Amino acid sequence: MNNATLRALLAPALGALLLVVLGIGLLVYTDGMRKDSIASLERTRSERLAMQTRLLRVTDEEQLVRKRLVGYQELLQRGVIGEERRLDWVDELKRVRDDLRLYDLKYSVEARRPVDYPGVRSTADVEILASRMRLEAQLLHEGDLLALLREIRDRLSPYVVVRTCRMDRTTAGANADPRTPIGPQLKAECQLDLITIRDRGGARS
Amino acid sequence: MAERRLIYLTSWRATVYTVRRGAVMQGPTFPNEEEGYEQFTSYLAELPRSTLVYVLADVVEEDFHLEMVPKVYGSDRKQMVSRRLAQRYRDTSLSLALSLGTERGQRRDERLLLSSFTNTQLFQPWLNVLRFSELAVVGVYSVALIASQLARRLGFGAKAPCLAVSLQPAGLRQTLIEHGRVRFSRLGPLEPGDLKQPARVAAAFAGETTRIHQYLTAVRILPREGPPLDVLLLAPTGRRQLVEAAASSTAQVRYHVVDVAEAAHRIGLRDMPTDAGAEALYLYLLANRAPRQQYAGEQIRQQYRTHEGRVALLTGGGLLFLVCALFSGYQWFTVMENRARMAEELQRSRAVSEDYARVTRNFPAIPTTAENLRVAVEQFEAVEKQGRAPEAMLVELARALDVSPNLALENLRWELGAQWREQRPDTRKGGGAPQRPDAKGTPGTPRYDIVEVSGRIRDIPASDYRALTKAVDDLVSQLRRQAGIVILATRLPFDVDSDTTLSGDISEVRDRDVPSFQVTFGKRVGAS
Repeated sequence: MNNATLRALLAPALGALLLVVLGIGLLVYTDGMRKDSIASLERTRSERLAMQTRLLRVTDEEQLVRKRLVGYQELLQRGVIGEERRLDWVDELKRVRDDLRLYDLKYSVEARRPVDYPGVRSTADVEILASRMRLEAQLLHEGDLLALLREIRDRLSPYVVVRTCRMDRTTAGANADPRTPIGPQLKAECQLDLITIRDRGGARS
Repeated sequence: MAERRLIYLTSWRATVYTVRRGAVMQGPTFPNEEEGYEQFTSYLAELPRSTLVYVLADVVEEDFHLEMVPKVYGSDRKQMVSRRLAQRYRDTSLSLALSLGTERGQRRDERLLLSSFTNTQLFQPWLNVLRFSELAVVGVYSVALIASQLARRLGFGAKAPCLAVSLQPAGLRQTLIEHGRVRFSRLGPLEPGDLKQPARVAAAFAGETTRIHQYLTAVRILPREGPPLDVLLLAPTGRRQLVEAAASSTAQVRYHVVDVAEAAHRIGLRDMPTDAGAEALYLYLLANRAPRQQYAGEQIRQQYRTHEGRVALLTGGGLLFLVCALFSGYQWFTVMENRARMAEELQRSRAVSEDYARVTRNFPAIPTTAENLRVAVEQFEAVEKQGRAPEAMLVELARALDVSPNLALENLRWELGAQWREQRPDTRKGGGAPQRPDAKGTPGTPRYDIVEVSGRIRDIPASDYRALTKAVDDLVSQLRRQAGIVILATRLPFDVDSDTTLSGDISEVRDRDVPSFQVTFGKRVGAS
């Protein structure tokens, strides 16, 4: 095969190569389309099946929604769902101190952050948040602590989780002179989580 | 498709024909002389470079010779054929060897028909012009090669031997066909005077047939005794009856007369020049199905080989593309099918969605999405499970302290949900006492509500170890009796545990100390 023949065959060879490349390209392209179409079909089918299953369970779902709605509305009314009302808390704490006639009641509330309880998870729309409150109180007896915790739980709008409590008998209380008037016998320190829920999809969050 | 030109070559001229859409069209004619070669050169120069050229030679100077050769294959056969051709012909530039099958005898020799144009000088000027034109010459063919094909198409020569006789501008061609292949051929020129008189032409058909039959019998190509030889007379158009009248069948010869127009119709040739002879039939067959064997050497066919390579490359590429395209088509069909099924699924999905929407329209109005409603309520329930208060544990403690009046509490610490790891049983402390793990905790480790109390023991001398130990043990025993309570740690005023070092200070001064104790107990979260 001489050079002239090779030159004459160059263009057809390139043409043949182009055809092969085009053919393979076409094959790869349609194969991709086929795989995409299979994936889309599977997705559509599974969505339809999921929707069908949901339709079949719609009665159960309705009951569930009604049941959950009751709980949700309770939380909403109580103020667990929604923004914190810290000024109200301060007012309520003051009233509790007065009502229980406590000697002293100090508090601090940290910034709100997501809870880290086991088994509790927030979603993008629903966040379970806690503000940690530290309480220090001078008490006459142990019953005052129980009453204080009960009142806080009842009067503050968030859900209250008591984390730790410590009571120490004060030195003054231990060595009190019976002739002096009765003063605080115990010092109590507690940590509480004030739980609120932020629902971004809700109307009142 | 490439343009095709067929050159009908006789001893005195070359005529160009074109075959297109079932019609044979006559082109220019060039005389066999210098002027003719020059005109032929100019004519070829104007043709497209991709034109394919077929040369159909119809000349007297050709030879057919049958040889019996050993049956060999491959390069051996090629060498043997070349040698036989070289032995037979002085100039083998326009020669070929046709296999006529194998002998039935024991040796099974091959019957090889050697053929060559014996006056190659006649061709050289034309072939030189073609070579320099750089057109692709497909091959040089003899009318004899095409005659066997024509006879077969007309239904002769496949089973019994047949003699095909036809009239062309070159003369009267007689070709003996055996088993569909040419066995012998001869061109007999007619006198110009005879050609103008139809009766003489008709007589020439019969006369030449009788003579060639006698010759073939004499040289034993045909057997002396045997069935009559079929003779196919291709009469000029419109002269069938004349030829039939001239040719009467005998015991040795059986005539079949077909005129050129009828033959053309039977082989699919729709149109040809009005004055054309049988050469139009041969040219048509050559253009549509050229025989595999031809006479020209590779030197003159170089351009055609390049053309074949080009066609092979493009055909190969095209075929691969076609295969890919077909498979792609199948895949596209699958895609379309899937899309149709997806459309059905979507339609069904929409119907289900509408049903669902219709049913849920009756649901109570909710202040958020259904999903948020679920998450908020479920997660709050999970938080509630964590919400244990200290009251219950303090009540348990108060109940236990009732039986230990000597114990005075100093400090109390309650903690929610601390992680403690279960430990090996401890006989002294009631067994199974848990131990606090690292600060981070380990998943799966149980959690406890824990109370740690410490205090002092009143009204018992510090030297009365038994009474001190009993006072604390009474508290621990009382706690243990209550459901779910686990003693996690105890610190006695005087530690008598066998696992620790026992040491003491027995003196009067010691009695003035107030002994202290510490008890840590818990209740596993989730226990009643």
